[in-house]
Amino acid sequence: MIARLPNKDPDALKKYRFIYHFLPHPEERKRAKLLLHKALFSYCFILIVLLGVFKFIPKHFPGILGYASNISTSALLEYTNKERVERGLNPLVINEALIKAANEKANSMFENNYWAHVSPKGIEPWDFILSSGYDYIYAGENLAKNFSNSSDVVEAWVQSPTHRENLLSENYNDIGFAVVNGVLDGYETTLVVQMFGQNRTPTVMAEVSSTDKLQAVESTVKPEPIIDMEVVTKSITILFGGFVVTLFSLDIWYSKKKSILKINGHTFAHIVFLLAIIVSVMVSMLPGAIL
Amino acid sequence: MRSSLYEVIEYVFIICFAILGVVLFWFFRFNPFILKFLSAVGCFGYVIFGVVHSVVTKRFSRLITLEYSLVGLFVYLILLIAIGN
Repeated sequence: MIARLPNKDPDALKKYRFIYHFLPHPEERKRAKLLLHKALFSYCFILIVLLGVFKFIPKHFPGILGYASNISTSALLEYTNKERVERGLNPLVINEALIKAANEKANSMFENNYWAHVSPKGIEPWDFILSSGYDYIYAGENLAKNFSNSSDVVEAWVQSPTHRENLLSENYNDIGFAVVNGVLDGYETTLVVQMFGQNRTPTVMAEVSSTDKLQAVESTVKPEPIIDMEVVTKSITILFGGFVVTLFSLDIWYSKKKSILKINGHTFAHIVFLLAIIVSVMVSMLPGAIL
Repeated sequence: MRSSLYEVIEYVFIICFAILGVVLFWFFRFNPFILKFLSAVGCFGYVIFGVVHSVVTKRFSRLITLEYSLVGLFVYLILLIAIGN
């Protein structure tokens, strides 16, 4: 079947032909212009340039493009105490020794490249707590990695029976958090360490409030970049991939509708392959892990 | 006949590989090295499909092989960006 032109006006003809950027041409029997080899090659070239940009900018201009996390220790404390107060438990008080222990634990995980309660050298969470000067009767530890916000971290802990047991235990009075960014297994990671305790020798309430202590800790966290790398890369993947999948889908639909026989590979196979990639990327965007 | 049998085999392989890819991506989502390796294997495998397709259909081999190669390369680059370089 041959497509008929609407009229002989050159502008209208140009406008009419523009749709063949997105639809296969019935006369030329080719894919849409945006799916021809030249176009696919251009997409690959653009992606290679973007890969170079994403490698160069975070190294040389870390304040512009980088990995951002919206997790803050003050929000973690707020959500944790909210869960406790809702169940009639006492709110936990921030303890500097537990903050120090949590930070040391997070740094130890990055330095020794592990993700566990006990380090490969056999160092347990209690060792960090004791070495920070906190003499405990009861102590506990919750870990999380790669979450993007504080409420999701606390929600994940509440949903897990063993973590909830720590979070809602009557045995604890004190709490300390660490939110540290670093490279784990070669991958940019945000680790959250939550340490609980009940001191053998209860300290007199310090003159410094919990909020001030948290602000002091948070001021040491590296500044957030202007553009979040994770959002940018995932958006490019989904938009670019989705665009090409849409073009291939239009190709199948229009070729069938107009009975266009073309010389090309299996379009449906391309769609399945691309969709699998997009689904994989979305799966990898799921909330992080807890331990 | 030979060509249509090949088509069935191709689709079965691609769908199985797609499902396997999603599962492995979920399983290894925090290990970029394994993800990059899997992506490279998947995309190279796709190029091989293009070559086999051309051999089986015996027509327009260069055009079709080039198309599969470009789609494979495009997907690989998209994945590298998604994984975070």
